[in-house]
Amino acid sequence: MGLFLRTVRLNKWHPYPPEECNWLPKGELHADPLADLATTRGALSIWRIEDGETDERRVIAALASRRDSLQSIDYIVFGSDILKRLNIQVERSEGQSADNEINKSWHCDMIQLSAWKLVEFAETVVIHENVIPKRITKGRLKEFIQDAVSAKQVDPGEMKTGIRDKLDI
Amino acid sequence: MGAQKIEVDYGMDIRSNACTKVSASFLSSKGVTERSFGGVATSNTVVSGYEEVLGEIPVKFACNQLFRGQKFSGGEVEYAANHFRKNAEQAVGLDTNITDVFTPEFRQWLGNFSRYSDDWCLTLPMSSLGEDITVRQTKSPQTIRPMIERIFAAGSAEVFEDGMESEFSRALTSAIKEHGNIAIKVIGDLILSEKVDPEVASEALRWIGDMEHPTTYAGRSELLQRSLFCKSSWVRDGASIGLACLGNPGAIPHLKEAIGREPYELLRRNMELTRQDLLERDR
Repeated sequence: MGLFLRTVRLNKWHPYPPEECNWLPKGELHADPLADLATTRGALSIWRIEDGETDERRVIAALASRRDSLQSIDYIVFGSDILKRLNIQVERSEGQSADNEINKSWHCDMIQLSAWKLVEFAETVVIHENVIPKRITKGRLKEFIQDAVSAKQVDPGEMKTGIRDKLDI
Repeated sequence: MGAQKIEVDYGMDIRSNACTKVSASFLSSKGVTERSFGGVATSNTVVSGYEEVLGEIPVKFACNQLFRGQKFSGGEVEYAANHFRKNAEQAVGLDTNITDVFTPEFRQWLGNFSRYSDDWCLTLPMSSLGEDITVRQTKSPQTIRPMIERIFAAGSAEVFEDGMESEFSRALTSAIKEHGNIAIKVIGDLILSEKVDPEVASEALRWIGDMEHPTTYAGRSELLQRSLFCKSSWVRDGASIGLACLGNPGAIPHLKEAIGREPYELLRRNMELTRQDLLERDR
């Protein structure tokens, strides 16, 4: 089973502190995760990863390298079986990260997404599969990016100063 | 020397009697030049400061006059500059008695500030040195609070993305750079009393931890530590991220306490990530 990765903002994802959402009927999806699933022309950007942690590291470094500042990064990883079950199609497309190699080969779009399909996807990920977002804090993020620079996966010359100035390179 | 007149502005926090910003304008043979030459924050035990401009002799001169109370000499100026830079780097936890740093006259001026209103301006002739030094208080928390409240209100309409600048983050960090610890005090009041949108407060805390500004390092660190115990999980999470960005190992005991009190499992786990991050950096 292949895996996919998408960055999110952790606070918007399950599980919420009970005292902050006691209004939410049990088993129903909170609306907040949908804010992290903004589509363009019915497509949602995701990254295909094969070799769990190593690939995760590479994608995270590539995405973080394009940011303004070296803060934490939150993301979810989910199985391709979810997309198959929901009959969501995936199409390869060009990514916008700092790593040109993975932009060409690892980036995909979930396509032909209706609003209902998107809600179904979020509901499956959050409620049925109980996918918990992961977080990489600044110290480890810096390590990831420095490794990516050493491996020539990302070019420090193309990074914003807010990132480049904080690296030991 | 070429500097006939020096005006020095201090941003003062009246309530805590903390001096937060120092800038000078001086009249040289080339006309009036304005430079922000340093910042110094004082509380009972912590002194921090830095110099933004070290290349201007009159500025060094002003710094030397005020902080050391001695006439210009290369060695003394270099000592003062290095002293303040070192303090800025070690602002938190630095146990420096202000009496080691300031002259009695300067301490007296600091004391006076707490008793005067915003527009107070005092000219102190330094006749023995042949200089006129104007010392005046700049902004107070009360005067900048409406501006900071507007920044937070406008932030509510924005959609934030991790690690990406926004109108809100730019306005907030500019206000901190402009008003120093007074701005931190106001922001702290708004966040800790939960008068602002928790998501915006969370975003603020990330950038407060991330920004480079030695003068406010101690104040920002304290605000982040206190925010770990706020009612909103958004705010607690923002504080945890901000502390990881700030990288101050002095926050480790506060994080440990917050983890022990954190009811929300996911947040507890993320606070632990921050704690591990800081422990790694402390090695």
